[in-house]
Amino acid sequence: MIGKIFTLRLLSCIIIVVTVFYYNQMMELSNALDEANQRIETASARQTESGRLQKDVSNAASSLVHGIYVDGRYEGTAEGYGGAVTVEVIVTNGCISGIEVLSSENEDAAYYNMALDVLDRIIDSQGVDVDVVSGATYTSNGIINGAKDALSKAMGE
Amino acid sequence: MKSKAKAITAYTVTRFIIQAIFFLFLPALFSSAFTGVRYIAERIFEHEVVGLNHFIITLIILLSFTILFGRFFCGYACAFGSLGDWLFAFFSFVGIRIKISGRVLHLLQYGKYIVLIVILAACFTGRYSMLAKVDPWTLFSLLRAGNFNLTGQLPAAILFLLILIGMCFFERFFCQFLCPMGAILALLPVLPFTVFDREKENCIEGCSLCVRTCPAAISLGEGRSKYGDCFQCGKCSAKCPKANIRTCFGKFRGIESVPVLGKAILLFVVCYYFL
Repeated sequence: MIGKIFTLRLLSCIIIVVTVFYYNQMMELSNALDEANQRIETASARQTESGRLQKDVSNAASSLVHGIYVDGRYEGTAEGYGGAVTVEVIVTNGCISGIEVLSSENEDAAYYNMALDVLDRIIDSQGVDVDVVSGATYTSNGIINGAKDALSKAMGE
Repeated sequence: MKSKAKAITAYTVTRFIIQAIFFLFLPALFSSAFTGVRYIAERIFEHEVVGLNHFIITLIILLSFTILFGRFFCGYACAFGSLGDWLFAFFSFVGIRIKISGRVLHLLQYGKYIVLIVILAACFTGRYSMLAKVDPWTLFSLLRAGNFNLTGQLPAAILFLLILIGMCFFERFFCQFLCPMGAILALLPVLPFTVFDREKENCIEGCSLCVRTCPAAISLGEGRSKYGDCFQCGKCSAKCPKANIRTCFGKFRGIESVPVLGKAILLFVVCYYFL
């Protein structure tokens, strides 16, 4: 019943899966190594700086932290994959502190869940000039443009 | 004879209902699974970690389901396949039909592997964005979702139109000759439980109704090499005058509503749970 072809195909499948797993392990290791190296670099850079300089920097940073937006909650809508996507942007201290999708009725589940990555990207970059999630372009653009729409209301006078 | 006709009608209706439900509620399974394949290839090209995202989960579900039950997904749950089935059913009802010989058909079936290789090569070299312009699946899913804003989709629209025309005249035109996801599923090792098979020794001398009925011109009962192209439409089993085509080691005819529904419900629940 289970012939030669079956065995051959099964073996090839196992080889492909094992290769991808092995590749992933290698990449995770090398990423962890990169991160550790970076930490060592920043730590040594910090040590060489004087305390005064650090204070200056932190002062400057705290004045920068107050962003350009007017505090509040703003809603924005844009065209997604299968219709309108509505997002809410929360601005506190002039910065984008939160962003949420309020409705996305016609988006496909798998694509939608992938596209949610852009929410973090928007908060991290404090703006809507972010990359779309590859493979989920339409939904990503819906969220990004919805946030753009919302932030246009948060620009103040 | 009457009960046989009844069984076939029941099977046709069951299959249509399953296809319609998947078309309405899970229409993007085939494209999300294939996006998963592309995602793996692109991540490897970028030297990045392949994460376990929803595309990969969809891919894993479809691959394991196919290993267990054959290409049930293609025959019952793929929205693009269902679209082809309905177009073809309408046109053959009208009476327009083109027949090509089995040998030509088998040759054309290699087309899907070429499509798969081209797409994977593009992903591995970071050039997929060039191919994305002619992706008919994106266009199909946009249309299905009711989004008719198609600016910049002209190349894809032309290809999609050609595919639709093909679907009207050849049964499962896209699935057999072009579908890259079908190519992957056709290469999988399928467990023998729900695969159609023929007890050739009981056949009526000279009868080849099953081979002639089969949209993929598969000759059952003669080795397993061509079985990857069977997407379980069940037409061979429904047509066989001696009920000679069976699955599950001769226990079922493969077109009974209960096991078919069972598989469909299993796939639906798994997809709904994980996605």
